[in-house]
Amino acid sequence: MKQEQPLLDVRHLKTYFHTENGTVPSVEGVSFQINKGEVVAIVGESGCGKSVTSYSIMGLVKSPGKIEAGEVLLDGTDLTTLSKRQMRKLRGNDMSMIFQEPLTSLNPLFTVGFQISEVIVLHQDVTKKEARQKTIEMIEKVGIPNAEKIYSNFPHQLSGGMRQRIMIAIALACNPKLLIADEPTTALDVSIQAQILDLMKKLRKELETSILIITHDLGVVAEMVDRVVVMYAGKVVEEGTVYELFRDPKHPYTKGLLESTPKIHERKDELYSIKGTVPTPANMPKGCSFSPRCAFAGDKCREQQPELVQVNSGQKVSCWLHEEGEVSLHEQKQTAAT
Amino acid sequence: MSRNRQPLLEIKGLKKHFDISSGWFSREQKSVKAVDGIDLKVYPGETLGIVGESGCGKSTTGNTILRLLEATEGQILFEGEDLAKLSNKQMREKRKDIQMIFQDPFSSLNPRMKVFDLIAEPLRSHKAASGRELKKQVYELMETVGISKSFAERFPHEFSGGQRQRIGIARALALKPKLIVCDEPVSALDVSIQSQILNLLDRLQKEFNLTYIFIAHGLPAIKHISDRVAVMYLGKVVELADRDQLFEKPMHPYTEGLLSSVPIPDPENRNNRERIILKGDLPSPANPPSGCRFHTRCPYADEKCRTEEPAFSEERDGHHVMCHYPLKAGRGVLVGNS
Ligand SMILES: Nc1ncnc2c1ncn2[C@@H]1O[C@H](COP(=O)(O)OP(=O)(O)OP(=O)(O)O)[C@@H](O)[C@H]1O
Ligand SMILES: Nc1ncnc2c1ncn2[C@@H]1O[C@H](COP(=O)(O)OP(=O)(O)OP(=O)(O)O)[C@@H](O)[C@H]1O
Ligand code: SF4
Ligand SMILES: [Mg+2]
Ligand SMILES: [Mg+2]
Repeated sequence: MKQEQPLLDVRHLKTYFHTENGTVPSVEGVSFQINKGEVVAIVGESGCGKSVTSYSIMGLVKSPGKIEAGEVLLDGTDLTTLSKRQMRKLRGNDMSMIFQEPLTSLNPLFTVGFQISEVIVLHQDVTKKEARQKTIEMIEKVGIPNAEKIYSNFPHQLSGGMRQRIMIAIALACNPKLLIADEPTTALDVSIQAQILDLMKKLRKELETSILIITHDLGVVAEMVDRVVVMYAGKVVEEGTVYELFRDPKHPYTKGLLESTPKIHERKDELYSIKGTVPTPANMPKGCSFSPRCAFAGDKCREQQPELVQVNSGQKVSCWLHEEGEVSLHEQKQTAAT
Repeated sequence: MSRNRQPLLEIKGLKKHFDISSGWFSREQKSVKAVDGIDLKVYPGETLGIVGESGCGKSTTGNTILRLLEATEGQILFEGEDLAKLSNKQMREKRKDIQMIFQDPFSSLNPRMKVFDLIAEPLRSHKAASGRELKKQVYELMETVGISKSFAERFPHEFSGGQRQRIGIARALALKPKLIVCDEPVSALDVSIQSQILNLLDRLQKEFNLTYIFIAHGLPAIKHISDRVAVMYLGKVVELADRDQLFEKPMHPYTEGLLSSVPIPDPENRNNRERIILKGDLPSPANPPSGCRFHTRCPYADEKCRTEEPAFSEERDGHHVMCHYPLKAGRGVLVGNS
């Protein structure tokens, strides 16, 4: 069977920030793909480059940030070569994004109805009246009752959950091929988060949109996605299907993340914890960037950077432990006690 | 076990209302009923978790216990003594026994003070130690919370979030308190750092025989650390029980919905989980619903719930619930209470 071309193909992406205090290599050679209709998550802790990766895909990196190298192919077109105007046309139409804080990403001066219809008018050949009708349909689709009334509300009149629904309505108004959701529920309460995740699952089935969801919540990942990309310090350290990754994580960092997460359905006396903290660009270690915190690290790890390599049909990992082929970390001896 | 002993802290009928009748609203007397009549006991050596969604009154409860806020009504008995009756000077003395750890390690530390002075401050201001003894105690505290002595001369901005939280913990420990109110101590931290801090709090509790009130909105962390758990909704404690009781056999429909909303990091079972998604938004605490405050979102509400406020009653040994129709064993199976 011929492999279908992925919808999104990010290749060796590098995005740096050139600040007064030096260069911050926020995204340091990231590659991954999203197939049509697939839901992929990028996970990792604060500062690992998740948002900068998504901004790079959307063409929204602002100075002093710059895409230094790599390609972002959407349906085969390299977005990094497009003009600002071409990108603006693409955004909202072929791909759109929802952000973590719905209040700051909605304009406080305009009604939510206006903000949704604006996107529709901009990208579709419709009359004002048709746009209004479509807007009301969108508001209903994201599960807000009284759509007619909500149409003329301003963002501050709505709760956080409602604002996030409006953001989703705006993002999906033109039926994009790719939706990027950067921490779409992090600012919300759990009962509201459950509503939004439920809505995203429903819409995904209905619209067949591919979704890139960015989160640090492994629970959200396990509930929602098909495939997971794990980032650490600007690089992809592991990638795999959600089932494989949770069942048999290949990278010590992934394993550490999974084990240090307290879980509501089990009980441990002591949580596993990864020692130390994430390195800053100024103290980035030689070799594997996880090596100072890694319980499995050997001499080679501290000297040479591992590459991201395929270890089985569904998983890729960047770790020297798998140099000679796939091993299971569950059986692997940890060299350093934590 | 603990229930036969004297509680260390007992809260009786505690209310804290904030007056918001200024400015725009000046014509009507209006107040936010942030805490609206709660009763809780905390026993020596235990951890009482307080959980609930944003704005339910968790922090207000904590701040009122420390008298950072004055209660509107009710009693706070610490070792049998009513804290509200103490003069400011006497209360200052009491703060040796009752300390607090805050959510935001970034804003809760004075940016102009060095780590040594930050940790020495409570000792100095209570004249608990000076000179060599002070130095010795500060270094011991640093070691206890895992901050290297060599960092004593550094400023807070030079530390990561987790390290700053360790400094906050060292400050809270300095005067050898009996009770520590931890207000979201790990919510702002990354997963791998969260588990380090949770483990540290656990160890310190054993080592110094501490009693904790642990406030959080994250159910997994609450489950991990608490012996008993109080669930708050709009200024009321709606359920209070031993940890395992509460998580395995919740009796309040809100608790049931809340537990069901938590995404579980286990993809294998994602399709066979039955979910109860709480509908609607959190009502405003300035204008709580009539009868049972939860009735606007409760899947089981009937006429009685809309008109009559349920009592906070003990349904089983130590298991209190505020609901006309507490859930009987097994989800969603209802049984009348009258
Ligand atoms: N405008 C900027 N100038 C300088 N550095 C930046 C800028 N924006 C981001 N960075 C740096 O790039 C790195 C990656 O940031 P990014 O926002 O992508 O992290 P993230 O994974 O999304 O984290 P979080 O979970 O906290 O949202 C960080 O070290 C950050 O400090
Ligand atoms: N100083 C104040 N003046 C007026 N209202 C206040 C004040 N402090 C708190 N409130 C209100 O009281 C209610 C309870 O607030 P509180 O901070 O105790 O909630 P919380 O449970 O700690 O929430 P979170 O999870 O967001 O920290 C909220 O509606 C809040 O807006
Ligand atoms: S390469 Fe070595 S140090 Fe890096 S994660 Fe793998 S085992 Fe740990
Ligand atoms: Mg981000
Ligand atoms: Mg709070």
